[in-house]
Amino acid sequence: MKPHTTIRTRFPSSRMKNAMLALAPLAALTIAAVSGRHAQADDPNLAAFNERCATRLSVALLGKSADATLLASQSPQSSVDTLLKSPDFIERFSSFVNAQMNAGPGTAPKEDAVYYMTQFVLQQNKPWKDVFTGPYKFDADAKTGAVSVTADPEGLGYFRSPPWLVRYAGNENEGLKLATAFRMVNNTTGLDLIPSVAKPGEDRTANGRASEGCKTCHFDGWYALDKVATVLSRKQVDADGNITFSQGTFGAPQQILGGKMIANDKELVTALVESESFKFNSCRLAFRFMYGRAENTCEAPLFDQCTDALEKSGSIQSAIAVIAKDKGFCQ
Amino acid sequence: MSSSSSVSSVSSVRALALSIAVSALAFGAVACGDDPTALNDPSLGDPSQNPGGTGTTDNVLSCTQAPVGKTYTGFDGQPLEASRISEGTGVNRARVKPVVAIAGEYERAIGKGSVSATNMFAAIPAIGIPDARWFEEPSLNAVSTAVLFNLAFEGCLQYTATDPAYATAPTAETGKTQCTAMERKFWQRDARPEEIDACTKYSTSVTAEKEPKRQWAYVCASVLTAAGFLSY
Repeated sequence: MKPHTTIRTRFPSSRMKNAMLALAPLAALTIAAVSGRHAQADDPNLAAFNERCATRLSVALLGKSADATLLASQSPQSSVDTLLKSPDFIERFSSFVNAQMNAGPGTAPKEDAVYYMTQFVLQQNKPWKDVFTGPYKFDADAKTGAVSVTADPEGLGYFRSPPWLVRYAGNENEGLKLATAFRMVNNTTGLDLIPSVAKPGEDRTANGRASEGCKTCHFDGWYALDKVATVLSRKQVDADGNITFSQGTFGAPQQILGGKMIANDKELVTALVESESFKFNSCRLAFRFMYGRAENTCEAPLFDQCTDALEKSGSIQSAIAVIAKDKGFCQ
Repeated sequence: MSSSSSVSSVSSVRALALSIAVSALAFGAVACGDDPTALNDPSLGDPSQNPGGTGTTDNVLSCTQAPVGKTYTGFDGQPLEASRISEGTGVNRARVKPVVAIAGEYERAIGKGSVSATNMFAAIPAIGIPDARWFEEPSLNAVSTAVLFNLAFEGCLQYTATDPAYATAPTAETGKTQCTAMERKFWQRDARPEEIDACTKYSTSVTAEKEPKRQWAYVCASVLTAAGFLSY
């Protein structure tokens, strides 16, 4: 297996090109010979255009070559809704979301709560926000390791799922779940932070985190990690190293997310999912899935159509469909 | 001596073919304005290639006429759309096909079974495939490109084995005809004249290889290892 590297978001082809350029001493000569631009002859070549469109749609949505029916279609983009219901799409998009929301691939199925919750929501045609707030629970059988998503009135998407809570419990000395707090905000809004590396002897307690250079992320920002973590449960570790979580929150309600008073994880995630940041991040996710990069300035109108569709239907498939059906996708 | 000389010659042919394929990939890489990391679709700006397109030139990446869109306000009161890159619609979008898709694309282009499943499977470690439940944007490097070229060559030997068009060595005329046909079929678009010319010149340069069908197989493999085929 290929070792995993950082997921690229904007320029999927840079490594390819670097390798190509390094490989080809003749490239410059050839480029000079062929880089002129000429109008092609008069044939609009609609058949070729449709074939290429079919391939683009199939590879982007399903991860595989187009079948004969799609290749022969006079209007491949009319098949988008059908493609979005296929198991291949569900598998590809669930894996994509899993890779976006986690630091690395899970070593066992139980570590991939995001994958299974996304898969469940897509298969059941549930609203996209249910991945984060739905009344479901993801868990793994202690003996067999078999994983499942089940109905749970106390569920909060995958955010209250035991394997996910353990994976992102963090290592703060007092049991403050800073890693969990970051993941919740990151997964719903796309917040991107660069963690600092501890220096020997550095004060990593709350006092240290309140110092200059640290407090911006831990106490001052709208996402203030210490404050967000305070409304979550407390991590507890027994003598055998088993991790459990307190029933109540670590501390008192906090003013976060730009001035909202938040008392617990449910209020936190609900506020995050009801925000414009969530809508924005969801369509950016859809663009990354379809194009391998975020949307750009000229694509603002299409992006707006995406957020409209998401708001109206609630489904991420409808948001992706807007991008896939746009004529720009097949140009 | 003659044997090693022959091997050396064939190796040279293969190296040249790979260079040509690489050049075609690199060509896509430089057609992207000032951004050294952006890869544009070279057909984008050509209306004849792109009936639904805008006809804008494909070597201009930047968004020169930014449309007015909605504002999305973050928790800090700042506009989230400010993070967008200034690029045009539909540009910077060529992505390398996943290995599973490439296997299917070989079938589409040169026929089912041309590239054996065994060899395709054996090539996966070099090309790369994500772990279960994971996604990784495919990318190419020197090793994977060479592996893909070899796979394509294997398939192209089948592709050129029986067609009478490949029974005689390429000439400028037949090279142009077959290059035009291969590029159209494999890339799913009509090649531009300069792309046909590059392929044609290569087809008549494979003189170290004496067997016509193998000469054509090199031509075929170079077209199958270009960005027009490996990206979408």
